[in-house]
Amino acid sequence: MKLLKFILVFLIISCFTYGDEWHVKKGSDNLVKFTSSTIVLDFDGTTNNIDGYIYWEGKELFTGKNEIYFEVPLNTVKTGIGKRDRDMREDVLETNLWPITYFKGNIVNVKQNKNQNKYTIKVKGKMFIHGVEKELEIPGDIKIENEIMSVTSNFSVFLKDYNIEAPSLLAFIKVAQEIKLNLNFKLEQSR
Amino acid sequence: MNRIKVTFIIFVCNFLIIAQPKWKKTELPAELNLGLFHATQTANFPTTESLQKGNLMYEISHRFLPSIKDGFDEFYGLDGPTRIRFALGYGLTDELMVTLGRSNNTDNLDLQLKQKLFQVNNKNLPLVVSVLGGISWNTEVPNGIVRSRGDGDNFQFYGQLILNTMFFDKKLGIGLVPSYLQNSFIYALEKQHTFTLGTYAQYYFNRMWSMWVEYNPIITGYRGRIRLDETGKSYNSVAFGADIETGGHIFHIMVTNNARLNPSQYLVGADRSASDDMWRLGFGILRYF
Repeated sequence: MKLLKFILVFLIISCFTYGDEWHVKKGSDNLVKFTSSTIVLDFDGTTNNIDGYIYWEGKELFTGKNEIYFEVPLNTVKTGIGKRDRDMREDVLETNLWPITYFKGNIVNVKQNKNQNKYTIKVKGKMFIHGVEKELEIPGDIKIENEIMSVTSNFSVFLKDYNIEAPSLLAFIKVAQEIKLNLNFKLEQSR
Repeated sequence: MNRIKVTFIIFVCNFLIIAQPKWKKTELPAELNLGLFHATQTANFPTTESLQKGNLMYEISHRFLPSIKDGFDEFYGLDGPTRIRFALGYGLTDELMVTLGRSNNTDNLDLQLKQKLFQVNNKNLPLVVSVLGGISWNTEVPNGIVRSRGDGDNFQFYGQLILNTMFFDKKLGIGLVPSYLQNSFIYALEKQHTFTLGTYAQYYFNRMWSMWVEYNPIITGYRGRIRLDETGKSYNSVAFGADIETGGHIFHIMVTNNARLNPSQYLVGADRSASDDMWRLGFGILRYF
């Protein structure tokens, strides 16, 4: 009986000390951009359709058990040329089979900058593209201002890691294996 | 005691619920424009595909006049002469495109608009319907014709309803293009018209290679010559060939009995009979950017 009461009190306290959860703030301010290169030119694809969350159970920011998850519906990525978008969807990413790409992982390193509102983080988890999940470590910067969390991250993925054949961009010139990704998006606290 | 147990259970459940992210998964975006054929046109017909708003398309097409049967001396027709068409298309919206083209056959200038009407995104039988309307201006004034370049008789008008569908997991595309042409023979004393039922089928082996066949029977109306230096009637058009698709380009390579390129000329029929072994070589290149 005493044990039951103790657990009850613990649970009540746990509820009040529960961490935090932030969701992506939908809107055109968000940007997910990939840059692909050939020997003669580069091209970009962009979308503002990113969704997901950062969640942690600790009292302090990003502490305790934490989890992050972000996803992008690939049909929304535009390169500026309709024909190229369609080729990318149907032949390269096969979005009829795998319509989204996601990253799910944990924050493994947090460093608060001198500016109290800025954090440099490192996350580790699995990136899912084209039906393949691959372990990835991604750096990022977070700034919290006016109850909005701004996230920026730049990293690369390689087509061969996700069983994607490099497509041709100009006649028979194939794009490079490395695809650079630039993310810039905002989150707001979940109420 | 029971009250404590109930409270305990409620808190455990509550704790388990809130100890997980509350985030809900994104609804995927609304249906995209249904894409069937890989290009905005086949060798001779429009498809229901359109350019994305602000995108451009460039076309250059050749039809060689000598027959393949002329053999090595004429290099199987490639020595020419040649009917040539250049065209530039532009996406006004994602579903409306405009194309301006020119053929050296009677110096025919051609302006057309194509609008997507609707789509049925059925997994087994997808269907897209578009409509195309165009005006042609024949700017060549032949010797012996007393008429200004801008004379109303030099203009032709045409309309096409385009129906596309695909079978076998988007491997086999079928197109139906009932077409109407007004003022089929610009030198006729009375205005002529022609109605045809364009049909085409294209089989995609993979993203790069496909083979196709086109047939454009004349259902009713004028089926004569289109130039003063031609003789005889026009014939049902047949063409077959292969497409090579790579890096934003589509190459059509074909054999056909019809060397006419612009729609207001092609729709009158072929200038040679398929049964007379008057097959000619031709090609087209499309570039999207």
